Amino acid sequence: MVNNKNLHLLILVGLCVALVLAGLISIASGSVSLSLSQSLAAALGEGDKDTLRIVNLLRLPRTIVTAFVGANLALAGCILQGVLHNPLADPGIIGVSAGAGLFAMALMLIIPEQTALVPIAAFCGAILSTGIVFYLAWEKGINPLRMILAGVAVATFFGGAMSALNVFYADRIQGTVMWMAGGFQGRSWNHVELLLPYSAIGILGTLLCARQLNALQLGDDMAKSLGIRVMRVRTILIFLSALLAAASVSVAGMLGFVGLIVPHIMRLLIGSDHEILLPCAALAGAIVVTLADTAARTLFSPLEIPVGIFMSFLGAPFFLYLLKRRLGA
Amino acid sequence: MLWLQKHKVQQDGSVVPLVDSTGTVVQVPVQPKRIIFLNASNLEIFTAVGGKAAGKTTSTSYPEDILPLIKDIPEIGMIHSPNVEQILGLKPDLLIGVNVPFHIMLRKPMEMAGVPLYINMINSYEDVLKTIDLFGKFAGKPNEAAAKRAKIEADYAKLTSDVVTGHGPRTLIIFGSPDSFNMATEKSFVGDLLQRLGGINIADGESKAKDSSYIPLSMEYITKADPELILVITMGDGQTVMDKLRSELDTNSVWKDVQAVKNKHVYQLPGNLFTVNPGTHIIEAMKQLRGYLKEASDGK
Repeated sequence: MVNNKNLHLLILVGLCVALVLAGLISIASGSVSLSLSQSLAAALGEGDKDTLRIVNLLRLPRTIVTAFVGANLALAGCILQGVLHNPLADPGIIGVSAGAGLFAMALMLIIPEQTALVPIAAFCGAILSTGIVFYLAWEKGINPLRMILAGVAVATFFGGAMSALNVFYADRIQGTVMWMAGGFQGRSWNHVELLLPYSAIGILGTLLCARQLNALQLGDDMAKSLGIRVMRVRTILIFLSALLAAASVSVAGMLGFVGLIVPHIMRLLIGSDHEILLPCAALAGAIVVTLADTAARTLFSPLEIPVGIFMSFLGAPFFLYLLKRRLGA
Repeated sequence: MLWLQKHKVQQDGSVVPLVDSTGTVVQVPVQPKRIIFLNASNLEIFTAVGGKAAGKTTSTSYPEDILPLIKDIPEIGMIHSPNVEQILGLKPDLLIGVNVPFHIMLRKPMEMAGVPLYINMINSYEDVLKTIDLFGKFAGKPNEAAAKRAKIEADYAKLTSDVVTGHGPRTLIIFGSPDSFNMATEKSFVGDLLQRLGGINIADGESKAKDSSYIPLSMEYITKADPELILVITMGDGQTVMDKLRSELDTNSVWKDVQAVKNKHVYQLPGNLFTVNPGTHIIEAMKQLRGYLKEASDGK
């Protein structure tokens, strides 16, 4: 056990170092070429006016947003897969994406001049649709099976409304495509401000619940005999994941993949002890999204590729490789 | 705290408040020197009145006559995903875009960087004239702009002198393909031009979608309205699309009884004038439209 603990500690430290490196790479790269030392100096407030503008107004907030969004989505996915005992669970399943998508899209299509309000609209939409799913799934606490069914039904309903918007505003639809694909163009401090409080609550809350989440893995009866109030813990955890996912979707758009696959990859690499899995998944999510976003905005500059596309192309094959290797062994 | 360092960069020189197409008051430099354009049509008008932009959107839809003038202007990414870093790297003092989400989204970060964003929509003939005036001022070439405007106004007067509004052929403007299409309403640029040339747009008859430029109408409604002229705007260009469309209209039992199809008054509107906003080429677009309207009314 001691050995195992040391190994876990090593992985955790390794991931922390990797995240710092990813952050530095992200701040030092972009369409305008700046050296790492120039970028760092600018982040600390030294350098000429234009370098300061680019680093402090664009790269720094964007890097912070990508890291938090990655961590949030990976954590949300990790919780949901654990609580619902369903390997396909991701933040989409509790209705978060459907509501956020519909509200953001409606705003961008009907009153595009108010696009600045998209994060707030998306957040309200996510809370509303998740609220409906919770209400439908409530049975003295959240019933996991009913939750999944309610999630599918609500997503279908909101999806229908999105298709209707698609049809009636066909000429404006192109403007929303980039948001729907998920990405971070032009994200700045106002997005950091929106994201930070919810992320802080969600991340801290989740890490504190790791033990209870472990107990839930043993099945409801076993968890009860260990003194866990199953319904209450499950409900709190799902609420936390909804908060994390809603905050992320509202600033990053419909970013799939991270919430589903990063938790699986980490589980395959380090096992399913949530006390170590949760922090590792959060760090890995942050690293993956930060690096993918850096690639998305620099590889084809000045064109920006939606980061979601990048992650799907790189992440899905890697995930399949891990899966196959494990099945083989 | 590192991430709370918000920078407000003061503009040199004086600014003047202008109300843009979204109703926002924008502090625009009196004489902007480095303007970046986030869409093609605004850049076209600016270039046509003698301006030289500092950045342009990545696009294939610039009209050919301005291509040599803009070929060395750096690109800042596609219309729906402008690259903010590239934009700031070009040190602009003004951004001009249209009312689409990813342009509006730039307003806040760009304002923090001291670069105002002016939204300029071109939805009608009047908008083209207004834009020519405004961009002439921005470019520091008010005389060239005034000449351009006078020419367009004179041509417009000539072209519309004998138009009796609402007496032209019943017209259907299809956007897309016969399998999946929307119809242009009076809110669209082409719908606006059609109305000015006297055509009757069947999509405006009973449309309840007052806000939309393009709406889906039922086949039954089209059969009842029985258009005498069908104009098609396709996204892809070329003869093949149009040939396919014609053969489908001829063989489909619902379409083939429509007057326009029977009398072969189905035309494709050229993409360079109608898929994107024609800007200062508006008169060419109107002449084209006028020609089709004439053929349809003569061939009744």
